[in-house]
Amino acid sequence: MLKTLKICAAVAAATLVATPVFGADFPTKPIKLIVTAGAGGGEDTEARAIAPFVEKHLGQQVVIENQPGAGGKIAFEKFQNVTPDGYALITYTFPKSVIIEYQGKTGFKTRDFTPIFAWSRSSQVLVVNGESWKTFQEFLKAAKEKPLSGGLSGRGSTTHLMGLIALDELGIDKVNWVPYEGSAGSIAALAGKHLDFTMSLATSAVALIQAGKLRPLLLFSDKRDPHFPDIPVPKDLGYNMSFIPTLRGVEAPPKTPADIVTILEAAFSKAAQEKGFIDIAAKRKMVLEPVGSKEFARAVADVYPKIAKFQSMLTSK
Amino acid sequence: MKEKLKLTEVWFKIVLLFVFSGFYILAIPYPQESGQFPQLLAAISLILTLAALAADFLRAQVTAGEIGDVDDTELKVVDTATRNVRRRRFYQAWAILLVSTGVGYLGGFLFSTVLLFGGFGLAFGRRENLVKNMIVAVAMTVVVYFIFGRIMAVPLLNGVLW
Amino acid sequence: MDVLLQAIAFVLQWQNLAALAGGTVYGIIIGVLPGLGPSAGMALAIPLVMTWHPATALIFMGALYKCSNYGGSLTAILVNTPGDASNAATILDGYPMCQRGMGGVALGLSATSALVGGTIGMICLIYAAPFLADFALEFGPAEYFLTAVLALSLIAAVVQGATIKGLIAAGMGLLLSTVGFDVIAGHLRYTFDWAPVEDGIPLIQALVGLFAVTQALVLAESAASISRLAELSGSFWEGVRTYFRHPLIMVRASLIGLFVGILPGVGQSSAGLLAWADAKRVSKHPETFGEGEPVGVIASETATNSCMPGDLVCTIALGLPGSVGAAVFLGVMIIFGIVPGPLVFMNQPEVIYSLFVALFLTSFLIFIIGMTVARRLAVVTLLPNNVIVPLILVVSLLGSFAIRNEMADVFISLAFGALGYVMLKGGFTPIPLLLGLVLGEMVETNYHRALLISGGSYSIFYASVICKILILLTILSLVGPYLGPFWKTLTQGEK
Repeated sequence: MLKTLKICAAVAAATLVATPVFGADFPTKPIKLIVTAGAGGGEDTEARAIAPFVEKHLGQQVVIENQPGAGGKIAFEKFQNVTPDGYALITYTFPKSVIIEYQGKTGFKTRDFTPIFAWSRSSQVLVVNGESWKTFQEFLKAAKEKPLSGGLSGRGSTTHLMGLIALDELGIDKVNWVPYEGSAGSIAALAGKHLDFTMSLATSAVALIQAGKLRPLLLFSDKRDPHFPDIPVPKDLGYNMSFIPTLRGVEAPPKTPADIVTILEAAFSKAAQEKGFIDIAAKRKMVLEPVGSKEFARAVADVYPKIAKFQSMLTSK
Repeated sequence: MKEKLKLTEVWFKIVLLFVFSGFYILAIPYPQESGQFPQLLAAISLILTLAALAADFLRAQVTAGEIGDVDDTELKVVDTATRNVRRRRFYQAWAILLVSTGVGYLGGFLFSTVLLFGGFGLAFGRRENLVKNMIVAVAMTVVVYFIFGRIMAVPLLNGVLW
Repeated sequence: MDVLLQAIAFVLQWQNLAALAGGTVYGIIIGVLPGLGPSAGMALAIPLVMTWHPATALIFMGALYKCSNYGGSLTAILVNTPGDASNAATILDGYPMCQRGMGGVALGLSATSALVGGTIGMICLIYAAPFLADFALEFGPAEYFLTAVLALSLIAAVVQGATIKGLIAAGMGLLLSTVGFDVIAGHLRYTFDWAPVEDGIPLIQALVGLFAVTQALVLAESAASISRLAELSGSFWEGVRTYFRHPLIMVRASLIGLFVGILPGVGQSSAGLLAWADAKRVSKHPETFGEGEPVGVIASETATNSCMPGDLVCTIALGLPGSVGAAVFLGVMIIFGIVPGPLVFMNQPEVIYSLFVALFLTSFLIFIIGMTVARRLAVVTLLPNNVIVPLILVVSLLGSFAIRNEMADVFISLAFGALGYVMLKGGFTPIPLLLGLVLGEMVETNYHRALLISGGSYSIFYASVICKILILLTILSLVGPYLGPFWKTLTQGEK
């Protein structure tokens, strides 16, 4: 019995022998990309869209692993202690993890992670049903008269945060926020006229906006979205607002050596310029905006005080 | 026989009472909206469990009165023997399961699968089939590994130490 | 109409037929593994289909998504282990049939159900998608809440005979569904700082534990093979013939499945159970349900198979995924540049209709597979105990782990396995618990959402026509079983 087990173990060991690790070149074996969202969602699709192009430039496979637990918190916590050899990366919808840090005690610190590259940026948009208010001014007037019901893609999400900032700057007193899990639910409710408006990312509501069932009234960004040039931004209407753009990119574990960072950054950057990727991005209406590792790191550091300011808003409202 | 079964059921319901009370009590510090639903559910379930317990006791008194005269010691002996065998198998099954899972956690999927098949083959298989069962254990492990790990690229457990 | 003809011609090209067949087979295999659902299957297959023509790739993925259900019902019938929550109802009657050696008949019923349910579902999808989608949009939080309540009231029917215990089990399921992050108030409930349950108790992992692990333990304890007889009796074709003797159930179950599928947010998990409960309620001999009643299998299987086309309604017609699997499918569509929504029928009709035609054909393919391959699988019920037990355990725990790459999920499954076993010994059946777990969030969150929208006024719950209908149906389902005898006593009293 014992002997059989030993034989089994030996066979298993032999079968599992990984490709021998050669010299110090990077990368020499497949890279694991952890996606902190479920399969099929926005973050996952973008990761899977760029992965094949990155593979081309790195010469190694990029294997995607979904770890969606607790909005990514579990994955982030594990990632804090992963060996910084460049073989494990994590996708990052900025500033998701920073918001998580402010919601309770966590085992990770976003500022410790090593940002590599961000390829796309999404901004929140305020959407109403196609049959209701036609301009933002009309909406604003109605919102000040009585509390409207507004959909969120989740408590503590970037849409919630942006919604609170917007209320503050626009001088709207009260809104009945109705939280959903993810944007699909609130968009469906809006289309069915059960909600007055909803805050969502432009990419989530594309189909219904194009079909005319929903109307975007305001884009929370400093410049207009190239895919939706008709949506006004606060600047156009005379408001001075601070924004929380959602950047999507990858990060490496804390203390990753600089030369590995450079190689990875170059690979992702070239992948993001590949025509194939740009085509896919255009179809998804993703706004591509390459952000290198240093800029990325700066953006992360900048956002901490902004989120701290709204921390109390998040936990009370 | 009837009374013994009933005992397990009764104990289970008593445990449930504690569980439901626990849910209720733990929800007290929650904000009002959060706690509403769980507390309502816990309260209703608690009442239902008490009702079920009451029904059990009432029924027990009736049955005890009816079968008190029959001498069923022989029946009980047979039942105890079978029950002991079953219980032993049950504990064995859990032991193999837990050990395999622990091994899997440490060493990875391959080890746990081999242990599971091997363990059950050893414990529950017939003596004369021992060698055949061990071969099946290894074969199954390899098959599962290839089909799921390689062909279908399903993520398999990697051991912490492996 | 000629878009449809064009689509048929397109699908009949060999590579599309190959994609269709490949997706079907792959889907069924994925479905057989408890825990691994179509979402994981589709995600894993993405690298494979990346380079294909978009329509072909979608046919593959769509077939995968649709057929994974059938794989799950195979294991549900043969091994009492649902492949996914949607197969849970099939084990109620399918497995007892197997224990009596009538596995062949059950498989026949299941394959025919897939054929009929799938076909009815697809016909509705093809001809009525935009209309059905608009109907689905009419459902706001108040309507969702009432639908969940209606579903729960049907559960009372399920446990007729042991009503209190059933309700307690349902209560436990509902309580367990509150564990985790509260969507409305943003508060963590009952998690004790353990991160893996912050999103709530993961449904599939719990299901795997509650049914697969429990079943493995029960088998281990009894040392028997699954079939208590040493041979199989009853044929596949007998099952097929039996199916067509119950046309009314067939229609009812398809409609229930379709309805459940259409509503975004109500997953496939409930379709089979609701159809089963409904069939039991209207049956002339409800006490046979759960003991190997063929009608039970017919109802649950037909509903589950008509549910998936319903799922696609909102996904394709509105671009809003109705379930996790649909969300992945939506993601795949987008990767290939097909943006679903009301405009897709105008912009890219050939892709969509080829997909529909292909999915229509999958129902037939499933039947053929069932007829040839599946019934040979019935032999698994004769496997010796020491092989079948670890097989169930390995395969289901593998699936449980693979979903989130999370070891903790394996522990959750084991814990639920222990719970399931203890429940069985304690005289409780785990089905209502599962339903409570599935429906709990829908009940609670939509209740709060409706009140948030109405500003606290309860009138929102009976405002719309749909609300009123739902309330009426709920009352009927609770009172209905008692109305029959009541009516009889009234009329007899007059005589």
